[in-house]
Amino acid sequence: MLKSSWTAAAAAAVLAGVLVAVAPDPPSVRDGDALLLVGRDGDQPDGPLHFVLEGKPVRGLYPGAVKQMKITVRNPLGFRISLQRLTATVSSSSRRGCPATAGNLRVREYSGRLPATVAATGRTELDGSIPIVMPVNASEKCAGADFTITVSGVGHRMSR
Amino acid sequence: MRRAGKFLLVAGVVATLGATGTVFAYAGGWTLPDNPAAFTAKVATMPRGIEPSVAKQSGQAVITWSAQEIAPGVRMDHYSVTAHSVSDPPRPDVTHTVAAGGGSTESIIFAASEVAGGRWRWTIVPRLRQWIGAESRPSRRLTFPAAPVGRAATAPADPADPVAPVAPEPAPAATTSRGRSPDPATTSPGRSPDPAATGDEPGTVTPEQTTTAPEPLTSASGVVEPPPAGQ
Repeated sequence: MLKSSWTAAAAAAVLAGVLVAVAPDPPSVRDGDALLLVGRDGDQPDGPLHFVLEGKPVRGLYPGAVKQMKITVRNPLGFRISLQRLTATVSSSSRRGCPATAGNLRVREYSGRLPATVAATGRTELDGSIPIVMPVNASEKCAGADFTITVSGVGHRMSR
Repeated sequence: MRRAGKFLLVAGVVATLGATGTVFAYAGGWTLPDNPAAFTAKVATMPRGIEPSVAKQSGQAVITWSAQEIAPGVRMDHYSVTAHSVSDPPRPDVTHTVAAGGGSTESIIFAASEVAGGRWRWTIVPRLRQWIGAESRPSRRLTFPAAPVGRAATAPADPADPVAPVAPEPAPAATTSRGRSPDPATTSPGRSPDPAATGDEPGTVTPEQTTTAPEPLTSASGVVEPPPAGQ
C-alpha cells in the first residue's frame, strides 16, 4: 500500500511538472497583464478576437481638410480593460493614380487621453479621435477615391 | 492506504490542472492574432461648374454664377471663366481665373474691348487648390457690337505694358449712326492682342451695332485690331 501511495504521488508530481513546463510564464503584475486589442470588420462571433475597435467612415475629404475619426472600443470580456495605445495608418487607396502616401493622406496620432478604461462586456466611445489629414497639394486624381485606414491598439487587463 | 493513494492522485491532478489553467488565463492564453480594424476615408469629388447667367451692361459682359462647395461649408477658392466665341469665323477663347469672393454668388465683368464685335457663350470651371472641376454647360449667347472706334482711337497706350504695340497713327474717329457716345474702354492689363478678332459676323448685328468705319481699331492698351468684318 505504501508503494502505491508513493506511485500516485510521484505520478501527480510528474504531471504537474509537465503542465507547468509547457505553460507560459505567469505574469509578474496581475493588474498589468498586457493584451493586444485588435479590431475587425463586421461580426465574427466564432473568431479568435476578443476586443473590437469600431468607427464611422470619414467622408468629404478635400485638399487641406482635417477630419476626425471617432473610435469606439467594444469589450466582450468579463473583466475591465485599459486601452493603452491606438495606432492608425493609411494602408491603401482605391485609385491607382492616387497612392496611399503621405503626400495624399496622413493620419496623426490619437488626440485623446490614454489609457482609457472599458468596462467588462462594455462599450466606450473614446473621448479623442484620430485626425485624418489631406494635404493641400494632394493629387487631383484623389478626388472621389476611398482610402483604407487601418487601426489597432494595445491594452492591459485590469483587476477583476 | 490504497484509497488514500487514489485520492492523492486525483487531488494532485485536479490541483495541477487548476493552477495551469489559471496561468493560461492570465498569460499566453490571451494572446490574440493581429487583425486590425479597417475603416474607410472617402474623398469628395470636384463639382461640375454651374451654368452662369450672362447680361450685357454698357457694352460689357456681366457673368454671374452661384458659388460652389466641395463639402458642406467649403467653397471653391477660384473659378475659371471662359468666353467661347460663337462668331463666324470664331475668335480665340478668353479665359479669366478669378478668386472667389466668399459670397453665395460670384461675378466677373468681361470688358467691352474683350467682347466687342463678337458673339459669345461663357462657361465656369470650379477650382480648389490644384483641383479642377468639370466645365459647366455654356451660358446663353450674347452678341456685342464692334467697339466704337472714336473712343478707342483716342485712348492712350499703356506705358507699363511693354508688349503692347503702339498704333502707328490714330485712326480717325468712327462715326456712330446715332451719335451715341462710346463706352469707356477697359481691357485686361497685359492681355495679348487678339489676332483673330474679326468682329461680329453678318446677320448677328444687334441694334446696338453703331460703328460704320472700317478703319483699324485701337484699344485702350494701344493694340491695333483689324476692323470688324463685313462692314
